[in-house]
Amino acid sequence: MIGFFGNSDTHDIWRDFERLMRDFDSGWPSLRQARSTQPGFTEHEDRYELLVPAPGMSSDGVELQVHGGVLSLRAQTKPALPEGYRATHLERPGYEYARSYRLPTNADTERVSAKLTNGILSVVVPKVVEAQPKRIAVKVS
Amino acid sequence: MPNVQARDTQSTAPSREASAAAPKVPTLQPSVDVYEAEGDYLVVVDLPGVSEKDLDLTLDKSELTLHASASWGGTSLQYGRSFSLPSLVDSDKLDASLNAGVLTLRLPKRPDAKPRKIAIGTA
Repeated sequence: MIGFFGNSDTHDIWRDFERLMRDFDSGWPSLRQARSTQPGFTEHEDRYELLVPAPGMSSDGVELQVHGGVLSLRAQTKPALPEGYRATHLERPGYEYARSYRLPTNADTERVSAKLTNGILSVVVPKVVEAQPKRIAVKVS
Repeated sequence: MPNVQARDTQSTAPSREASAAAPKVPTLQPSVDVYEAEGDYLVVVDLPGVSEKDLDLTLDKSELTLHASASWGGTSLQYGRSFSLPSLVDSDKLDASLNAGVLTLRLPKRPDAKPRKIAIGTA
């Protein structure tokens, strides 16, 4: 068939439409995924934990500081071109963070620890053990 | 020019069915770099949170499929991606290594696929 709506055109339009529907279908899960791999704090009973995606990162690339109740993170990893190769397809973004987080008042800033495991940086901030309310006896004089 | 093609996982039917049937574990498409040298290709994949035992690589003819699961704090997620390999790749000699959440695949080219210099004789 030849004309304004030739065979190949119609075919492409259908393909675009199908792709659109597919993107629509998968849109919500992918939004959720995107959120689930952002750096973020989670709260646990005894600690706060900051998880940061850091594939390929070594401890040399991470700088962490706690000062005045603020946790500062600087971290960087850049995919390097392997020697002797040329790039034919590039998607990996490299990761660079320069962020500060004000810690809650019950954060134990003396015992903050961090580790890199399988390309995830995890920073653990323990909570101070809350002082139990003390009963004060009132004497009668 | 033939090259390693990284496919979009979300456009393949099996993974969509799997994600619909399974309890809501999101499937992420990992970022991929492809590099080429005279003798081989390097495919580099970001897989934060994945350890060796949670990584599954399957080669079916010229289709290489990657599945991996990771735990992200309390939540689980999955990675999926497939690659179509050009015929000049010697698929018996694939080599994979996972380091700090980065997977590196080395795909050697067949010896006969490498460019050869042809000597020109003088008459």
